Amino acid sequence: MKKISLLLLCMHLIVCIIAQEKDLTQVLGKFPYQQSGEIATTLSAMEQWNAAEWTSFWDALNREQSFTAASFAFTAYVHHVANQEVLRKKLSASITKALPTTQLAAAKRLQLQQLGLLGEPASIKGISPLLLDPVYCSDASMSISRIGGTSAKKYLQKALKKAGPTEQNSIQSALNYLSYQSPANTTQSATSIPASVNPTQQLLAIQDQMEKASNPIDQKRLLNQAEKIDGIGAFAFVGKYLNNADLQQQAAGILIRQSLADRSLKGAMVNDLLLEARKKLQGEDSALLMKLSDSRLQETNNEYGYISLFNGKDLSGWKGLVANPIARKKMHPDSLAAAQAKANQSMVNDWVVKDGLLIFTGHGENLATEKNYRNIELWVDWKITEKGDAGIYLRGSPQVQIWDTSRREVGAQVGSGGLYNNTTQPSKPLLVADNPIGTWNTFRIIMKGEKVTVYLNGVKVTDEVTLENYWDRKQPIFPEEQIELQAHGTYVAYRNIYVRPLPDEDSLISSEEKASGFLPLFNGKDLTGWIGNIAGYQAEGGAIVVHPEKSGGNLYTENTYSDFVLRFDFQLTPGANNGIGIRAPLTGDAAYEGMEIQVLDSEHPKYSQLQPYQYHGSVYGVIPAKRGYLLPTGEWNREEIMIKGNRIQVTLNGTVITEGDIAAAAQNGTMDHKAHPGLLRKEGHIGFLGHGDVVRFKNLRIKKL
Amino acid sequence: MKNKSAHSRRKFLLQSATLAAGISIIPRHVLGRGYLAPSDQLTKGIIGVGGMGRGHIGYANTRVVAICDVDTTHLAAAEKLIPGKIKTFHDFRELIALPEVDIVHIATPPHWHALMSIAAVEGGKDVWCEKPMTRTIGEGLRVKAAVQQYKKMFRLNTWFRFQDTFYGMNTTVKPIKKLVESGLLGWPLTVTVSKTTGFDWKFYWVGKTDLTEQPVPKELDYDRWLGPAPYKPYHPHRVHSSFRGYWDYDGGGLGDMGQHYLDPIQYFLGKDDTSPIKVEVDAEQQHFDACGTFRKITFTYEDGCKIILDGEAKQSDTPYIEGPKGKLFAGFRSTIPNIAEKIAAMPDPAPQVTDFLESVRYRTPFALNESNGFRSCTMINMGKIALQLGRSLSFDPVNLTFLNDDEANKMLNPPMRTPWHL
Repeated sequence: MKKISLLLLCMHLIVCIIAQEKDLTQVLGKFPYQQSGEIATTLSAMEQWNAAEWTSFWDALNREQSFTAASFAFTAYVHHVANQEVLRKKLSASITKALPTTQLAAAKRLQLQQLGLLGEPASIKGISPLLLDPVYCSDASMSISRIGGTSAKKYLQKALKKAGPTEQNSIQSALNYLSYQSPANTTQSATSIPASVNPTQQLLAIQDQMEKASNPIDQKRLLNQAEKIDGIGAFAFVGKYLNNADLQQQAAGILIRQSLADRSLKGAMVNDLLLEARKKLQGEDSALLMKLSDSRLQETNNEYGYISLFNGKDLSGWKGLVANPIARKKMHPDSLAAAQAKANQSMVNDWVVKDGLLIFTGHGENLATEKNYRNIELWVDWKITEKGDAGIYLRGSPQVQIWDTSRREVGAQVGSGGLYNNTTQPSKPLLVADNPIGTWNTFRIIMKGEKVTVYLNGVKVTDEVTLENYWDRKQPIFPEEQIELQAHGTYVAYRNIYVRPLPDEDSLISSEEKASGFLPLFNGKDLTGWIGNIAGYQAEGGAIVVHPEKSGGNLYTENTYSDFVLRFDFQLTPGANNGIGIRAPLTGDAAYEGMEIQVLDSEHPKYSQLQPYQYHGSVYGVIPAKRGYLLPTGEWNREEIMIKGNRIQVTLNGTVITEGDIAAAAQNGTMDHKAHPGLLRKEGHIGFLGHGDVVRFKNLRIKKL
Repeated sequence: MKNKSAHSRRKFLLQSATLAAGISIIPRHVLGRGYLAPSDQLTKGIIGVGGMGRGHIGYANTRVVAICDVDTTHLAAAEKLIPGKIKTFHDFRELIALPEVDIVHIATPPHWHALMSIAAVEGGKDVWCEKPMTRTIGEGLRVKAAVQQYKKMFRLNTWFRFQDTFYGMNTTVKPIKKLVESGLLGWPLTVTVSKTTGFDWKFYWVGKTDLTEQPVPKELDYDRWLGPAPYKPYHPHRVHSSFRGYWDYDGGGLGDMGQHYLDPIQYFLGKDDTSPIKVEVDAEQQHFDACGTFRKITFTYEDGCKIILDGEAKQSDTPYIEGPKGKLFAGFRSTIPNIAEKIAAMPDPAPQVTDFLESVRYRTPFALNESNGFRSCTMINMGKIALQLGRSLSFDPVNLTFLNDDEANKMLNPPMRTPWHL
């Protein structure tokens, strides 16, 4: 009976072992997995393994022929349980227990490594005997140090005392690791131009730092900072480096890109710099930039553009001061010429050019421009010393004030930039915006009609104040006179003097356009000359603005036009849709009964599925337009529509985007396969065909052909 | 005496440059741009003159004065390539100690980069180091701190953030940077790095799982080659031209190409001072020793930007960059019309120092340095850990630790084999 039961027990055990072996082979066969989902059930099964099953697994790991397969299962299971406390503890205990019986070196090393990753302090004791084993000491030290904690330190220190010299090294290394702390992760900042100040002040800071910059790396960074600043000041600053071998490439690229981005940059000065930049331009973008700047080059030759008043080398363009405008008018031309010659002689003693600066030595008379100016925008940098006093005369008259704000005895604490000689109109600046004495300041002065606006260092300090006539208080300021730099007995330095003549207030049309027959279509103030939906369209800030919420319908010119060139500027809101009706009747759908030149924010994602005959600038449904020439939504675009007989051409921001013959386009049916009877009309109204979005139009002018 | 004069020569070269830029610039212009008289040249010592290190001999306007390798055949082969008399070393610490060396080039396998970079900057040298910058995030942090503590210049040897055609894009990275900064594509962006976008993951860098011990060749000091890496029995596949297939020394295709590809992306996404908050992996199980391949690794930043490392490249024309408003494809094709013209007209990105010698002379950080290089390398090391563990991980880019994953955190800064330590 006993024997039989023993035999049965033995057989049972053998069957169990065989079954286990089979199970294990199946488990190992699942690894390495291809998709992590494949082994979810296998890993769950391993979670349930009893001690005997683990023992046979460690046996498999310990055999050379099954080591690789077992190592895949082992590492997968370690990663599976590493963040589950109970299972992690159980696995660590099992490894620790198996460790002394593991003979295969690779298996023992892997077990040590995985114990380190599992990080259970309880396993340290089991690992510690290997610290004294010359073969495994290094791996054991690394494992214990990775587990970390106070008990790791204790066991390492204990082993250090007993170990041989080679093992001591490993153990000491592990102790060093335990006491090692990662350095803080700090980031060094490179930029030195404060972003918080306004662009004018940034440009002053850039110019100061440029003087101090000792290497081309810093200089390049400063030029790059200047590219981000709009306006003539930054443009002219960059232009100064076109002849610097290290910087000219970069400067050339910046100048061309700035000219493309800021279309207010016009005039001889801009034109000269642009031409020079195009000569110096090289590099990957150069062909494209050359192409893009071709059209800009024509625009920059403009009478209402910037002129440099000071060349940094001599006094060309300047003359000495003779009397005042009223007295000069009364002088005989001969005696005026004689007095001028005398004044010019003393000028060269009183005003000197040094290091690119225009400096008043402290004695003598004002320095005057050779030419007279009407409405202007004037940029000038100035620097005074302690107790300094100076000013800018406009239209030959005093003055935009410059003085040391510490001179309280004369009231200078109000700051510079006021119209000092006004008696009835405001004479003090709105606030103090002076930079410290001995540092540079920038004036931007705008004079339109009798009104003067002054920005000092980017801050508006005088806001459309009438400049009184100092020479005869009874009459208004002269409409046109010279600009003068005031001599007031103290040192003052000037630089970066740029002037831009401004068109007269009532003129939206350049004199060139005027001469060729353009007439305004919109007076900038009200809708005189327009009919139709005058409730939904309103004149605001010099523009015609569509207010779809107020009233629907189209706005038309009172007059009709046949062949013409229509020029205008327009501003879109995101996704906006409108249209310019031409040769249109006052009733019916103007897109079909007349023609519609599409006005559309074509780049908006909601229009991604459009047909080319629906793009901005297309003759809607009839002649397609090129896409991609609109400026970013929100910026003012310039457009010209030219129609003569059947020829039509639309030019957007200098690029012809639509070109064609309306008769030819309609001959075999229009692109949209719809009837366009309006194509046959020879004459009609011009109108805005609103589609419920806010759009602005301005500077509308037309020439009949 | 000789050492002293060499030392003061170096000092003069650097000081004359920093104190009076004009002096060093004038002869350059007189002699033509890019030319430097031999006496004006900076000197370099190269550690690791295997295939990669020998490539470092030729970088212009520097003179090799010393080389170091733990394989005597490498050392002899490199010595033949260099004209004139140079010093050869077995121990990199001796090369670093040479006063006449200005710049130390490190072209060893990655598991040595950190220790050698730190030793070099502690020894007063500037460093030109091969990619990937370091094998672990902990090592990278320590290199960054040491370079900044000793105020040394550090350049990592990948360059796509500042020059050369950027793989499948057919342009430099500059127009991509301008496009991304312009907002034309919208935000957040997804960047896909795969064979179809022009970026091959070079999966031939896989390790072998059945290596049997072989005798160490007599020309190789295997113990010194392993250095800080755990001891594993020698097999020729572990070393030299195939070491990239083993986690102990590198990280497979990801380790080899990752920093080439990811560093420019970090740059154009404006992520140079941060890291992703998440890394997700889809891959077969990795062997504990040998690197395998991956199907997909996805990095996600806090703002929703993603970088997908696509190892399968199943789709034929995946966009390289995809945003809510537009896409950019290989060859710089885009859904945005007139894209090249629009980008050309936009302001250039901030200039970078693209000549390491200028960086050394003017003491100004190089375009790809210890700081942004650490960040792009951190992505590779995040990916390697996620691959090895076979699971996705969340990361804290400020404290540089994984969230809720102790095991992953134990792989951030693993202990080194004695006697090497950080």
